[in-house]
Amino acid sequence: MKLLIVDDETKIADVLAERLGMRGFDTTPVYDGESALAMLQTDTFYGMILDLRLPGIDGIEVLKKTRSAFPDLRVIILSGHANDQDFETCRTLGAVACFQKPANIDEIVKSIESPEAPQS
Amino acid sequence: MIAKSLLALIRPKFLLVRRTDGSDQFLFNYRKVWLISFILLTVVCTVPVTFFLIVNSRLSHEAIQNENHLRTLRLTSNSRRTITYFLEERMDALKYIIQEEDFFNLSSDTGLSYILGNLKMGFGGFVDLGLIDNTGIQTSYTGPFNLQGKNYSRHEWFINCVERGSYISEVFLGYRQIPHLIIAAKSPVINGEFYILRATLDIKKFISIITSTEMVRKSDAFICNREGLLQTPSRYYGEILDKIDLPIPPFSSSSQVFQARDPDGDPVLIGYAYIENSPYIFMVVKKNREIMKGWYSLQKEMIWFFSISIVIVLFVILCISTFMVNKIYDADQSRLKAMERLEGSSRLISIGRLAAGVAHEINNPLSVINENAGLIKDMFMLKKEYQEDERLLELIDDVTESVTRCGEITKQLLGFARQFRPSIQAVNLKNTINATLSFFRKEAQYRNISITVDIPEDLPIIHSDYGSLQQVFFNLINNAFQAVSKDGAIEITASARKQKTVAVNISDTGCGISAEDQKKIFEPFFTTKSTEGGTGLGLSIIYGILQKLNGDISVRSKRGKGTTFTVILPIQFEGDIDGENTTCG
Repeated sequence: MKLLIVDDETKIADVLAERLGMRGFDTTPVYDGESALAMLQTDTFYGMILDLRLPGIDGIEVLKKTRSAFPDLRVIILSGHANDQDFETCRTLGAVACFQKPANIDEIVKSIESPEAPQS
Repeated sequence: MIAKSLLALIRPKFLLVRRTDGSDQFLFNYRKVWLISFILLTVVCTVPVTFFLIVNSRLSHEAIQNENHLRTLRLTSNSRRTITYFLEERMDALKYIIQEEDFFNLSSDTGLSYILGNLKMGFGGFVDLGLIDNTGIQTSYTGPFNLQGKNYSRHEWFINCVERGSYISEVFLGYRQIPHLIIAAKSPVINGEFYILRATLDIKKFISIITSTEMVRKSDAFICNREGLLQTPSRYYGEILDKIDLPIPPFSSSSQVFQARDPDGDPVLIGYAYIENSPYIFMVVKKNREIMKGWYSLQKEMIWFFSISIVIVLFVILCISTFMVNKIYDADQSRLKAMERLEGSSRLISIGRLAAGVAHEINNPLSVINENAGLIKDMFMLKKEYQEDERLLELIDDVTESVTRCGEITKQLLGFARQFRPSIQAVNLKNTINATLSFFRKEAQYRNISITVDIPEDLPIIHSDYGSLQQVFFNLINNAFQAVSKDGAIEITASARKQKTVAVNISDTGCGISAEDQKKIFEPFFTTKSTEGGTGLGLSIIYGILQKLNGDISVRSKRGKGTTFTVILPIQFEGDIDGENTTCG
């Protein structure tokens, strides 16, 4: 399963990519919203782990764009700055799960693998 | 009881406050305001009255003195006229006789006694009558004493009479050793020869003239000679021929009045008149004390009335000053309280912002630690040589556990500054509380804690944010559960207040909160449970939420007895719930 990991904090993106890689995912880390959207154009991904605060296009923008372009993509929000309201917004926009940093990796994996389909 | 309420009327409240912290928390100097008001009112109220009292007293004093002066003057001149007339009348009678009667008739004792009888009948006051020739020998005499043949040639009166033609003597004892006075008239000189008719006047008649004068009741009237020897008895200053101990006034042809002091040092008013052609001075002495007696008693009454009025006025002024200062004090205190509250909530808001900022900034490094520690663990799990190393795994787990704990704290900090938009909706408090309690039923059963909910069915539906209220009640009930020990009790009651607010009480029978801690429990990071993992944010979050919901929270607690938190919520939410809306990310 191909996963796109978007986080402006390169250390987090890289380590998360590596750890998920260890759990059998094919992961690609990117560090801003534009490259994330570019990656989605060139390749097909099963899911995306998305930070909300990003340089350039912010996470919510990215989420909106991907939801209209790739409705089957499972988007999981992982943010250190979001509040309940932001998470609420993300869920209504179609994110399958929202996590406050620091998050437990097993729960992230669980939410990726859960059969629940993203809302439309 | 009455004394107490009177004291409450005049004692200002600020006197009862002991300033323990030493800081001046008053906006006004109440003592100064109170004193100024009291002094100002007292001066304004009493000075004019006192002024009028003094002026009136002086004027009436002067008026009474003037009137007495005039009265004494009138009395003196009236008396002078009476005495002068009395003496002149008798002198004229003698002169008439000496002109009318021939010498032989006068020198015979029978003729003389006939004339004396006529004089006694016509004028009164005559005692005896004698004829003295130019050598001073009394040639004939009629009267109660045997004085015929007496030689008066060396007597002062004889010499004076020869010189002036008539004479009025002072009162003297004479041969007879009883006080009397004489009058004498000289006949015209014929061939170098003359004779003198001399009469003795009764002193009693003389005295009665003086004592019969009006107004003698309150004063002393008498006659003295020019050396100050009393000619008639005085009430205060001695008997006949005693010397009076009063100043002898200088000669004046008219009646005079002057102020002096008597031998006792008392001030006296003296009226006097020199009697013409005689050695006499008529004097009236009035003691000032007697004169002013009526005035003094009036003054006394006035001063009594004045004093009582002043006392009443002072009391009323005191009441007014105290009432006024108390009003200011009360207004001041409530303003001070409002300011404190405002300060407290604005402090909370700024702390909230700071906390949120800190939480956000810490979350990313925490995340890095978390992921890196996770990666290390993952790597260890893959490699056989580390897989069995329990110590290493334990260390890594400690790191991730600490990170989780830090994450909990930052999450709560973010909750403290909850920035989501609460939505106002109709809330049934009874259902909300029951729903919240459902989380605790199991624990209550397990620890044998009794939960009583007493919320009336007709409690008004309030308009508020359901989620926030649930958070508030959850935290408060959770606190109560932590406070009570096994077999404790928790009671939740609610009631409507004045149709505008609803009060919810959450009471427990737990350990209670000390008075010192009660002041701080709504401050962030204040906790007594730091060892058990308390962050000290719960109550400050509740406080912040209730501020936003236009509600309030207060605490009553007694150490060892239990604690009651009271949450006040408005029935209708008014105003703008829109909190600070920060950027997300």
